[in-house]
Amino acid sequence: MRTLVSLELYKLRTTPAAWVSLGITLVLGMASVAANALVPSPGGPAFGSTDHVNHTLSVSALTSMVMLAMGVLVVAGEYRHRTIMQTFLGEPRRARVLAAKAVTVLGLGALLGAGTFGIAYAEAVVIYGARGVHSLPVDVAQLWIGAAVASALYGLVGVALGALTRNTVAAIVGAITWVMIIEVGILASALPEVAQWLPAGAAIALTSVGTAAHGMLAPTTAALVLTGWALLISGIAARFSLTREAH
Amino acid sequence: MPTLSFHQLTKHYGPVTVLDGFTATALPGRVTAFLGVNGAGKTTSMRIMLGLADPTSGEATIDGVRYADLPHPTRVVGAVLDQGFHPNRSARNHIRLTARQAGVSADMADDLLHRFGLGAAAGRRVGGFSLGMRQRLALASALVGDPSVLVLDEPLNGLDPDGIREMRRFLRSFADAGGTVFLSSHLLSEVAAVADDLVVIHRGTLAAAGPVHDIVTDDTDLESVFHDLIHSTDTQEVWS
Repeated sequence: MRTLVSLELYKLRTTPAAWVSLGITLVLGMASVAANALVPSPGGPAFGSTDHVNHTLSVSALTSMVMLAMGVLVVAGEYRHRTIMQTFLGEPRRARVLAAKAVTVLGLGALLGAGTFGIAYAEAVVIYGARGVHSLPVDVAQLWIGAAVASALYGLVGVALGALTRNTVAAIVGAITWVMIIEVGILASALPEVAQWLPAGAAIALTSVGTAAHGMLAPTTAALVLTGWALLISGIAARFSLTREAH
Repeated sequence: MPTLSFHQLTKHYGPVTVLDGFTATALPGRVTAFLGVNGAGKTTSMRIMLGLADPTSGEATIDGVRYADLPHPTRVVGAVLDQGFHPNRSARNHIRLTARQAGVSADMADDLLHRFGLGAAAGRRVGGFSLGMRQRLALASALVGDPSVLVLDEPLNGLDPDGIREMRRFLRSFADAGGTVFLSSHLLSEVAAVADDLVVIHRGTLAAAGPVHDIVTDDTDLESVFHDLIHSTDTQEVWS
């Protein structure tokens, strides 16, 4: 398994997608921290309050969606470029290939989530400190762990969706539509008691404090629910994708 | 050196029967050409041999072992199918990746590319390669694990006359060194120039098999023999 994971990392290292994703995440993450902290919003939370800092540090939504796309690309990208045959010629046991991709993306997701949050936190400390707020009124450890866990699990969901659809565009557009429009846009306001148990609801609960977390699941419960969703979708993907022929 | 064996291979895709009890062998030290019209079952047979598709019944083995059960399959079998390349990965990195998959040193990447006329393009993205360059890269990839068997699906496609001649020489030397070569092609004149044995498949079953000189006699040519074979419903077996 270690060899297969190193192969997956080598594939990512030798193509631009991962580097571009990393660059976009860091640039957008740092820009969003600065914008959220410094640009006042009418009727928004007071500068330096829990809700304000929570909003400033909300980079896990970005890293989660980037990892979702990365997970899709790691699997569906191989079908798109027809490199999956070379992969299966090297390792005919397909379950091991899919497992290696899942482990790789889980690890990268945790690193990207934790790393980006760390940079965002450092930036926030500087910005708030310059304006006299020297102690951020949030549970930093919870947000940090939440960012790592949510990003890793969204990556795993991406791997599963990529294996199920074998189509990068369909998987990414479908996932973003589900998360941003159906869950966050519709269900979160229409059926919040249901939405909190869905993947995006659990991720928000896992990575939020203050008002944003009111009415949401407790962080530990949210982590378990999100893990459950990721494993369920992965199980479905394994069940239906491993026996289909590779073209 | 390994023998490739297809034994009573049957494959259904829904109501369509692609292979129907196909049985054939490819021997070491020989270049075996695998011929058939489009849809005859060539690629499906090769995909089953390489573990990329499962047969409905029957089996395809390398010295009695299924491809998927080989401990290091790409060190035994080198394959050129219609597998693709990541367009943004360089040829050198593609070879290095293949070497890592095979569990062999990647130090030979540049030498291998040079041997197939791709030395100057080693650092270039494969997305900018011509069809002929891709074919040569595919063959170079197949050789990374120093295999004793080559399974090649239309390896001559896209090659210019020089490339075809080099490919013929290479296949001849590979077989002369004891390797097993099993290749499909529609270029019958080129096949006739390099093959020792023929396996002809038609409608998923064996239509003819045997040494080229037994099937193509002095007063015929491969093209007319092939035409007659696929328009005959009688299965011929001419192994002596």
